[in-house]
Amino acid sequence: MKRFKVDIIILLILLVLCLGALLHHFPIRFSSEDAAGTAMMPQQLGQSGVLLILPDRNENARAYTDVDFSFAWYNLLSQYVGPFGIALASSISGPVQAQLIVVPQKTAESMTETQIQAITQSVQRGATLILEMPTPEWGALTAVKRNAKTSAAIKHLTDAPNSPLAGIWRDQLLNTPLDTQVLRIDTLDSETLPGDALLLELDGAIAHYRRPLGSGFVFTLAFNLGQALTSMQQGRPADSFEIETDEPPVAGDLVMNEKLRANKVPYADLLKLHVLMSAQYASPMPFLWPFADGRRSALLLVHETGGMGDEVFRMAEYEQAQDAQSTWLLTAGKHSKKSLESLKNARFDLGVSLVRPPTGRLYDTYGPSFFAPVAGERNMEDQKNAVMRRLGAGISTCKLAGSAWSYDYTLNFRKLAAAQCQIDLTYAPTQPGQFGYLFGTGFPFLPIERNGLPLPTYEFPSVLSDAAGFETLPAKIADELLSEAEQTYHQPIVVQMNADTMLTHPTYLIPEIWLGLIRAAKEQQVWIATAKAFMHHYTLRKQAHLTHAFHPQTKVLDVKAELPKANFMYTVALPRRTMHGAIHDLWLDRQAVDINVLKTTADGLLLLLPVTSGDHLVQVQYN
Amino acid sequence: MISVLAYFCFHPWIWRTDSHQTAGASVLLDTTSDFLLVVDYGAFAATPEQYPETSFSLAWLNTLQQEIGPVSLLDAQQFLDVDLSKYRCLILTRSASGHSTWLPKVRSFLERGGTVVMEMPEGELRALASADGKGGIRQAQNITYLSGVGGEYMEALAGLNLSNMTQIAGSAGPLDESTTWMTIDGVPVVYSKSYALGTVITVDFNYGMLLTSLQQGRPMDDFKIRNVTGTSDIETMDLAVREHVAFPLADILERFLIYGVLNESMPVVTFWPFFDGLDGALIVSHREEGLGDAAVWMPEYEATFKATSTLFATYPLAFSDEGLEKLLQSHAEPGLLFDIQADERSRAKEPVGLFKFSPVWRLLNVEEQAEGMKAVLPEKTPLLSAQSRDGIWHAHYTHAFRTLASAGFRADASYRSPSDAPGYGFSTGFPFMPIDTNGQMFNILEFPVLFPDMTEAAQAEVLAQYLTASEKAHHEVISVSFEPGAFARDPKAETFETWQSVYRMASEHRHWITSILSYFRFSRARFSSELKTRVVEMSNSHNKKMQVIRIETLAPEAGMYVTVPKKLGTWNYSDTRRGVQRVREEGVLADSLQTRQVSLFGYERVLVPLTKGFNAIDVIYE
Repeated sequence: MKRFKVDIIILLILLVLCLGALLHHFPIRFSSEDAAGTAMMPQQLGQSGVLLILPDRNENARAYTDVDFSFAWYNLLSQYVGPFGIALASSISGPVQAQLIVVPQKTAESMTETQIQAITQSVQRGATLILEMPTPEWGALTAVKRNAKTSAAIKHLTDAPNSPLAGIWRDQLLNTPLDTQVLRIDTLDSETLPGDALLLELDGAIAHYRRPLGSGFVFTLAFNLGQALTSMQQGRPADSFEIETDEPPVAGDLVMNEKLRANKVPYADLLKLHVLMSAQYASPMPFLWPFADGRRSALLLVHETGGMGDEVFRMAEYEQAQDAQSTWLLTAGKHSKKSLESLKNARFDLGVSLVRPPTGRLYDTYGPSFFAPVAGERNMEDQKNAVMRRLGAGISTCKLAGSAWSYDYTLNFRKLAAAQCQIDLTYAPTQPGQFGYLFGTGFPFLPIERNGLPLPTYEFPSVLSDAAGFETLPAKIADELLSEAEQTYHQPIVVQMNADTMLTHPTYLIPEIWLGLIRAAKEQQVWIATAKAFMHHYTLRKQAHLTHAFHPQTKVLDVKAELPKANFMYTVALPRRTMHGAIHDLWLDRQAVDINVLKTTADGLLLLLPVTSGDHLVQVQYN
Repeated sequence: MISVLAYFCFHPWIWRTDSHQTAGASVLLDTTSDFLLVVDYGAFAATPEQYPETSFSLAWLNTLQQEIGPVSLLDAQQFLDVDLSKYRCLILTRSASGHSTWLPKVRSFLERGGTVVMEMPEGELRALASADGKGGIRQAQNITYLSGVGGEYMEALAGLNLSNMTQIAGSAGPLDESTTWMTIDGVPVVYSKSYALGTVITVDFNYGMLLTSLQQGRPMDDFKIRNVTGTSDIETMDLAVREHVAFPLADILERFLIYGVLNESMPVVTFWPFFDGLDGALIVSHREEGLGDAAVWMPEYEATFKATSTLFATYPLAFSDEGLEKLLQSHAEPGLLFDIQADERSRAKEPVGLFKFSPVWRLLNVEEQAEGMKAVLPEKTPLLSAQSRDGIWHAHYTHAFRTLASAGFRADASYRSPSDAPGYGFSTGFPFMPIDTNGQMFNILEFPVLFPDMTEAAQAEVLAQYLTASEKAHHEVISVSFEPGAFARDPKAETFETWQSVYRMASEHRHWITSILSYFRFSRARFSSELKTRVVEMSNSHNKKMQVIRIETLAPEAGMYVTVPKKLGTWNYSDTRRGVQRVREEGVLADSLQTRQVSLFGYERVLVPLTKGFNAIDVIYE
């Protein structure tokens, strides 16, 4: 009997040991869901003569086409103008002081007759109005009083007779793929549209035209530019907001159409430029240029560390030696504190690569090192916090590993917002053959929720990613994208090169492109920036005060700039040619500036004047 | 029981089998050539006890094939039956230069204007036109004079300690009316003397031993390799020299002999050793080290500019079918990265057991590794080349070669210079056929790797110097080796940039970037080609005298060139003509050829392009 007891005890001990070993190797796993944030109205930061009027009501749209795309204008102005004011339609009770007023479609629909009258008065006193898809109530401004038919059929820009864009920019503008709704306007009601007032033609109908009113101008858009831009930038889901794909969705599945999957042209930005520069031609105004230190483009190199440890930072060593900081997206738990600190001190942007299903799951184990029977899944916030703890500092940049996306159009944005990721780099080429401006732009934008409000995470789309297989892309495409970003389109381009691809899918093109881009960027004086540094400049410039007054009689543009303190130079961008003439003289703080030594944009539309932070007066004489 | 089984799964028994060995074999060559090399296989010591007792006569074959191309090789037994009128130069190696019965035949060859080279001749052959040899055989110390060789080359050769590398035949005094070309320790060891219409060139030192010691390395006298590096294994770098590695000393000697000495008594026409008349070759190899498909990116890059390389992979192969196809599509040559003495660290092993229970692991010997790899490769893909992992070698001087011969390899790139002293550690960049202890040759071309691990910019700078020297004077084969996994594991930009710069530099310096297989095939084409020349005196249309080298040659491949001397005594090179067929003996051929001048360690040559197939060429000197 005693022997039997001993045997039982021994067997039990063995059983417990076996169970322990089993649990250690196959711990009990607890899953964890990601929290979801909400879209919200952004704060008014800067001040300028540009006012965006937004609708008051924010309701969840039932279908994609019903979404209020007004915040696409917010993105547009952030990208090209810099500081601007925002106001709700309900706050408009009398003439507004702004020199450029933007009224998106939903705002136009919601405004009362009194408010329309107030806007009309503002224009008559000299303001410029950009009006999107106006209702007949706006007839006094648009000269279209009848109910025009709305259509959502496939549309093509057929002509841009008086677009400020010329040459290749105009040719490409006409190739812009459009997903939008259109007001069919064949003629104006009460007058003939002058030959130089038609700016854009869509399927033979008037799509964008200029009309003088009093001392000001009205620019009417007969299509929903906000939708056109959002469908391109944020991607186009099904009307039900679903991403329709058999496989688990990836960022590449959001791309609006086939043409954009291998695309060297930032079509969305050409459309924005056309609209803004048309207004600027009639009424000169300053912008704050989106690149620091007078640069005309930016290269943002992004490396995910994947499964590798500190050895991947060899790449960072080289970049540091070249004075080229990049963005590193770290996998939680893979790197030493020392390495991270050294990268942080070298001004690299350290972010997190979020491993979530279907790409994978990361777990925290609980227990001593020899026995860890329980493992808890790390959600996005946990992973970000783990990296922040190791780093000892906050992080703002995130990316979903594998550029994985949700079937729901905006769910991942909500999750990223909840994890307090201010910048997301998930939008990137994911399939073989994909490259370029898949989302029509290289600039960051705030994604729009189905209620029309923006989610507080800037999406920064990439133009190249080794995940799409560099060997499947046209030769020299990286060089081409970089040089065109600098010499033609003035874009930031994000290039993703995972540090472990040389182990998993090696090709000589990865290091060749990496080194070639750094070399070319330095040669062409492209700003090699981290995502954080780019956004730092981008958001600081939105906090600036940039007011202006144009005097048609004297043809003088007075600009007052109050620029937040920064360790970089801002750049004031001024229209070179307007209907009042070309820039003849320029004074900065009452000192004459030789306009011939200043850089211009490749299309010749803007003159770039670098200025330090602080207060400045700029005076421009047109002639 | 379960514990015991689990223990053996984690600590399996190792089952090892030895490879077969195949000793060096005798070679006979009957080619259409101006040169006849004679060795006496009967005089070779089959089992010498000491390294110096080995017969090194076959080392001459390395020199002649490397520098000239086609050469006939005859065993002494057949000498009296051979028709010498087919040849312009007779080389009697040390083993075959003591046959007094050959005297009449040699004399008659000389009387017809032939050139005879004799290595340490004895007896009546020595009396023909060589010094008396009364000083006997002595240990050599240093080279003291080389005619026409100066500057840094001479300095490097003079610094070479010859004490264990060769012996000299001393004489009571210099030979009257002879021209001394080379001295060792002040003793004339290469000299020539006219005899009737011909010339006798005496090589009074063991040239074969010196060449073999330089190229193949000098073991200890008992054929064991000294562990110079002090590592746990014997490595090929233990055989390398660490001084004067910037100069291919063996090649300087060989070219001195062919272009400096021999060319003075007879115009030597040689096949240029590089494809398309380029100035050198860069042989690129990669070590796969179990990386599998992930190792193919380097050959894929090379394919973009039509270069090739050899990728040495371990067996069992880690490639997927797709990866292997990609490798072959890039035209890279697959080779075996073998473990010569497989142990627990070796990749070349396979489990023996059931399912995942493997208490025994069988280590695969080189033969099994080779057989296994051949079975995986497509039918028409040859497995020709091998390389030892980490350069680990057999402790015996030639056992590793015997193993490779038994496994059927025809080329090897295990010889590598130390990483900390890259360069001509084996005194040459050209491949050579190793000699077994029995004096016979292995039918294997050994490609010494000059730069075994190129990862740093400083190494690339050194390579740039080698390429520059090769373009201008050395005209060498430079072998480099890379590891594709190195950059992936440790992504240093310098590693990648260094790798890419190598190709750029090679192109800039007109070097053929190629694989071992391609160079092997090109070499074989040179060796198996036909090359017959004669010199005639003619008059041109202005009745001016001129000398013409008439060349008839068969080029088996496209892109082959021959070299001819820029000067023929006092006659200067004027023109090269080609014709489909020689119709009239008295006139020169019709079509003028575009030629190019090159300098080989200062020996000025003219490169003449050939078309694939038969070529009749007249080289005119005025």
